[in-house]
Amino acid sequence: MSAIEDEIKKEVAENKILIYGKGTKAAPQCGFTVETIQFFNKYGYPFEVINVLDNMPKREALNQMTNWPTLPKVFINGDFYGDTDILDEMEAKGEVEPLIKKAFGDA
Amino acid sequence: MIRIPDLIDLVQAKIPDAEVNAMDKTGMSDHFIIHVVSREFEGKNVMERHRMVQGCLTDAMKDGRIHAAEIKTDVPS
Repeated sequence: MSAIEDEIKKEVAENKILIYGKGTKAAPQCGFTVETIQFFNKYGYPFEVINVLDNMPKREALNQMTNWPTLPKVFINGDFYGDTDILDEMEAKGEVEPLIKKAFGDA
Repeated sequence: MIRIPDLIDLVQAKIPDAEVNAMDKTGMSDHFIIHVVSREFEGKNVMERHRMVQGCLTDAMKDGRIHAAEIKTDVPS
């Protein structure tokens, strides 16, 4: 296994909610990353944004690990949930809040 | 850049029964909102559905004709 994959697995394990996106939480550089940050701001739980805009090897490793071609990429409690297209549909069915609460042991 | 009829053809090439509505989000013909309705989605979860639609667009995303696509999926009512 490559060092990049190890790094990604460590980051996913260390953050209950993790967004790989373009730009940082304070200065997102892509509209979809902004939308994803706004999505999680609503819930009031801590989340991390890791900027991979200029890190093509890491983006490529992430694409292969998730079989998902685009950024941002969201992980909750170690599982991959795509982007806000997926999360919006899950939210409409009331599936997001229980997932986050479970991740933080509030269920 | 891609024309909306060509974008719809890309989806229907792999999901023949798909009813596709595409909207140009920015007016620049490279950011789209794509709504796909197909019986093929029955019994599939949202991630599987999105992967099917992404699979139709892979080449156009790689060569830059499409920069970004927001995808919504449904089964026929």
